[in-house]
Amino acid sequence: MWPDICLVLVLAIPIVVAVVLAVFRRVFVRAAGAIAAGAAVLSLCAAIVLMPELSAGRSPAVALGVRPMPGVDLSLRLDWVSLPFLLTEIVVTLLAVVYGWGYHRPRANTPLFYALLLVFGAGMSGTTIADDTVLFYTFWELMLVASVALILVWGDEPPGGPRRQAVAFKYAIFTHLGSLMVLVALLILHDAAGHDSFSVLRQGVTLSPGLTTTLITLFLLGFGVKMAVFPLHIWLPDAHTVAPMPVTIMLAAAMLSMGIYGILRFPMSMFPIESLAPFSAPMMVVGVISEIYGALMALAERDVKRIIAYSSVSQMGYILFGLGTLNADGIVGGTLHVIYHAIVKALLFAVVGIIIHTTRRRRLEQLGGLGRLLPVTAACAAVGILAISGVPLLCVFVSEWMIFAGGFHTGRVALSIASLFGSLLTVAYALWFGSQVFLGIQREEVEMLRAPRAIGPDAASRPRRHPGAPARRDCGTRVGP
Amino acid sequence: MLAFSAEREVHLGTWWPGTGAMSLHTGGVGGYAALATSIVAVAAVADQRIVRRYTILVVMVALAAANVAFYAGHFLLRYVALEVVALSVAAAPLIEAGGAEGTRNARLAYVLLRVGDAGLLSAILLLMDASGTLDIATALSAAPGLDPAWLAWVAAGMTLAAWVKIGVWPLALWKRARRSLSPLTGMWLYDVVVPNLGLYLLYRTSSLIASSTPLRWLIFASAGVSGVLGIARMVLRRQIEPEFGSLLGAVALCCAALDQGTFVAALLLAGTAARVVFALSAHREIEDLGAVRGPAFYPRGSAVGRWLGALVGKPRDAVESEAPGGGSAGLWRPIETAAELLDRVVEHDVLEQGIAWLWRSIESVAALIHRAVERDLLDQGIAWLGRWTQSAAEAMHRAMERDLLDQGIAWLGRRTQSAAAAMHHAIEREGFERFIREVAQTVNAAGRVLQRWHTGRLRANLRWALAALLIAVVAFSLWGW
Repeated sequence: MWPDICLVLVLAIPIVVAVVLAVFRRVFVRAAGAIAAGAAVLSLCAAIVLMPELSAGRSPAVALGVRPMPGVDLSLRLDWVSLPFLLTEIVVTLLAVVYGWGYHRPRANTPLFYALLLVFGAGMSGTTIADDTVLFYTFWELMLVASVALILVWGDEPPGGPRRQAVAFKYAIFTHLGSLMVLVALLILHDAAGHDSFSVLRQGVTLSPGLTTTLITLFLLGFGVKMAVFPLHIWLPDAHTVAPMPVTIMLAAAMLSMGIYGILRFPMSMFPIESLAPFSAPMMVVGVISEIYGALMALAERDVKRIIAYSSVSQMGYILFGLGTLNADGIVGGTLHVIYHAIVKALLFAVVGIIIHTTRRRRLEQLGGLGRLLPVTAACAAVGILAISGVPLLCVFVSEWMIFAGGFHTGRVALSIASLFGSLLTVAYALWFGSQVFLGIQREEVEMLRAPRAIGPDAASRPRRHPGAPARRDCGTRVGP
Repeated sequence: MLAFSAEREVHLGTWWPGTGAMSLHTGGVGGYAALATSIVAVAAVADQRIVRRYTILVVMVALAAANVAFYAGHFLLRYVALEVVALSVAAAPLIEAGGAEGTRNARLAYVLLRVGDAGLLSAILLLMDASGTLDIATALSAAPGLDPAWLAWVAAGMTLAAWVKIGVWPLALWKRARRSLSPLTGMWLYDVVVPNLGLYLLYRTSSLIASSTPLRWLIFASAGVSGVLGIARMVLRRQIEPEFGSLLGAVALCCAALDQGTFVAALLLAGTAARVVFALSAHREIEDLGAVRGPAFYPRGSAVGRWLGALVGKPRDAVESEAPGGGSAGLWRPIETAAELLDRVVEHDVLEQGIAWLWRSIESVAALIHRAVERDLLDQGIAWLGRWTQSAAEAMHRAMERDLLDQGIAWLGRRTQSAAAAMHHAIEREGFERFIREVAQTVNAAGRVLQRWHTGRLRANLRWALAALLIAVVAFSLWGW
């Protein structure tokens, strides 16, 4: 009983608090950030309480007792596949909310900002613990709606960059296209099984080989859009660049992983591994291309936020490569990489946020020598850069090793070696980024303005609006001259 | 003491499942290599020209990691130790020199060492796949049973790792970072620790390397170029020390290619001692020239000093004689010119320019792909798709809504109206009404005819009727009777 309640609380707390913040927004202008963080902490506690249940071999599951139509039974369930994703999402949501304290100046609609952050987080958590296709897709779309609203209302507009309306539109359209593919596949599955419960689907659905291949293709393409692997990544750089930094952290560190969760939950859980065998090599090839392509784009970019955004494309390539190996090493490595990438990417985006917020500069050629001015930030960046480079004793090393080992187990030596040597490009752009921003000569024109209170204690502290920056109704995130 | 102890295995535990217990092996060549490297470290730590105390920390970390690498009996442990050494080597110029040059040197050193480590990792993972273990001895013993193509990959990976570490042309560029370090620290990090690790790797894998004929010829060719280049530089600078490591490495590579592991081990130990002597004596000469000050390793003006100076460095009087107006003459001059030309062509024109060109090419290709794919193909493609969709929608709107539907409906209305009018005219006026009129007229006429009949001939007919009745009565009267 208690685990069932906790499972519901994981979702209910952020949603209820989001509604309260939205309804009583005039009351909670200043306290909204703290209340949202409290909700995220409670949600995290509820998820942690469930871990002993899983360790004891039980999977907490709740039937919500709602049957909107025949064959649809809304229910929640937590298992070992969903747990790492759930914890990652809640922790990243908490980090994003806390980061928002310093990044987002309190305004009239600040409670709405935090409410939407919570809804975004709840959308991801709900997608992860949903145990039926209807609830899964509902939460899947909920996170899209929340994130689009956040970009649309609070997005940055870098000088010369795209307009936030255009970016929000592009992001919504592209990810929704992917969602539609997933929806079609879910409807076919529902039609074949006669029920929408994952428990029923996991027991096996009899499908013709052609239909199975079509379904797997739809799932891979649909979830590939969310993962943002090449060439389905086109929404990502702009969305990451324009989104306010807390949202960028959630997009990069948590939402991308939803695509991986989808692949693990549907094609890899509901079909025999033999059905996936024809997709192994294409997944590995796309993974390697994405890895190298993302790294090359990161090398070519000069906007610090876009560099880290393209880095996500590259890192998703590693993960897809690992999943494509279809062996234990590769899949476990890929799943671990999701968690480690989330940690490292949240750290790097937080660092980039501090840099942009502090200097009002976002291009590499305008930055340099910040290590002396922001030593703590520089140290954090160094850890992130070394981690993403796969340096031993830092987390990403383990997952990369397992992914590469999985690649070699498949016998596709050339692909595996290409992936391994492609990781050198990751080292190159990570070091390039770090050395250009924190080492070398400090630009005189870098103007120290304001450091986020929450995570930038080493930066200048006086808030000051840039002379050329136009006043905005509610934006503590606008940058540029 | 460990070097002289009996061979023993110490288990350190398992890092993560599937990798097996990590272990250290005492004794053997690894022990001697560790001993030699550690002894020389004393000189590095005692270097009075170390600018920052952190450098000593880096030296200590590198020493510890190098010793672990020498003693490691497990590939994972060895790889981690090698990476820590690589990080230390890259960190030293960053700490010691800093600035743009230190940053560039550190980046170059780490990326190039990482190239070697990528080769090593690919070989390790292939061996692990073949043998199922990361235990170095077991994995190497399983190597001969590998598929020839895989064996060639393993040999190539190991050779690449050793090649980079030893610093043989053309993979010796990372050693340039030494210039920004204090002489003895630089000597230890760049000419002792890393090359010794490379030589030890060669010693362990010489049989593998010798098994690949193409690799063997590649090694001979490169060693030849490296040898000629080294001799040319010796001629040019009249110093042995800077080129000694490169020549030693080339010889060691050739020994490994000939499966002479014992010679490689001997070169490791003898070469370490020789390099120290050469380095110290060369710096003594520099001290004599008043360039920089170094530790007094041998008494000034002693017989040993004069002998070493004559052997490894340019005699002081010779240097002084090169002051204005001085220089070489006779047969020596063309040799020097040829050496200078060779050095410039091979080292500067081919290697430096080549590396610079390679980096520029990567950047250009990345920028080109970025422009072509991200901006032209994807961004503009999407923009074009958007514009096209908008135009198509407008055309469709024009065609369907305005031309086809609006005008169609208007035309249809008009047609309907005219059809109705025609029908009205045809049916109501010309058709039905006329018919009725004609029917009415016909009926009217018929009526008049009947009336005429009724009023005209009826009387005459009645007479005929009376006559007929009369005849009938007469006839029946007569007949009846």
